[in-house]
Amino acid sequence: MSRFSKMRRLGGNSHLGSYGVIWGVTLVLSAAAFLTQDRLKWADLTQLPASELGVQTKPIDTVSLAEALQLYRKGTGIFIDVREKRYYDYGHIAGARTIPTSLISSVKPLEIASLQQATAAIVYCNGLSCGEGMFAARYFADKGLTNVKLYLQGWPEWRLCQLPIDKSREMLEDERAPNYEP
Amino acid sequence: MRQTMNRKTTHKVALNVTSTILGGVFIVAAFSKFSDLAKFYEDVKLVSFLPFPIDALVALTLPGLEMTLGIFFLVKNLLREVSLLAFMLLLVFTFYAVYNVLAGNAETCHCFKLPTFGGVKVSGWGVVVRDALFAGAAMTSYVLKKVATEWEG
Repeated sequence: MSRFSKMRRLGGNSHLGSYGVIWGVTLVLSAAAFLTQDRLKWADLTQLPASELGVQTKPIDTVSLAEALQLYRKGTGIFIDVREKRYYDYGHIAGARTIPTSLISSVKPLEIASLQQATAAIVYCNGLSCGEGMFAARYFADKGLTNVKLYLQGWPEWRLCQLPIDKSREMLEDERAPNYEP
Repeated sequence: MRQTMNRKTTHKVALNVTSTILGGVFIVAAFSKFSDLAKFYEDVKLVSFLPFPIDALVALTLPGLEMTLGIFFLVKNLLREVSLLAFMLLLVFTFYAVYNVLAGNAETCHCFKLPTFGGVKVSGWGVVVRDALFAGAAMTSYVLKKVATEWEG
């Protein structure tokens, strides 16, 4: 009998005892892991508005390409790119702001208030396969933004239709370099 | 008699291989989450429909549970219990993987994050198949251990 099998006797030779041992070890490991984490970040993540406390989140309006384009041409919409910054740098809807989902909890209330000035704050991501768009839109709605909309098809469709895009200054400088290879 | 011994040996080898593989997989998965628990919590919020604070509790305990299961698989102790727990956990992962594929969230599902090998990233239905296979392995481990226990009986 190996020395590890003595654990079964610690559990009382019953299935209940065995599960107790397993969950006990799990809780100890989880507590140890949590204590080594950035608890400020955790505190920030869990300070959700009341609407998130087991209550259905607010429905988010979605916009089609035509609606997004109309808002873009009128200049009454602010586009918010929630992809990681490296994707934003490679290309984004012209004039869009970058607020990656990974940094969304650090967005200042003043910036959120500035988004309320526009007719619509249009969140977009990398199309239907990207869940961060809906998460970010819900986050902004819960923070009090009443004009938030989600452009579901996002960047892939906008780019496919050859609509106005921007790239970061660094990306443009790279492309102008004589030895640039895409 | 010899046939019985050969069968028992094969059985034991199969059990050892299955539990070792599952142990390694769970430990690697746990480490990848321990490296940034807050990021994992954000992933759980994105892909699950669990309300607060259940999603926070899941994010806090799931890596610890995976590590525990991995350790017990590797030391080959309490195998029936950990196999059953692993099977149920992997069933839940498979369910979420299917749900997220159908909802178009496949790229952001990190229920069972494993490192990529050779740059090959598993996503979409690949995640579903992978989790289902692991669930099958866990159930296999449970059955093998149950039979072994009856033989020792």
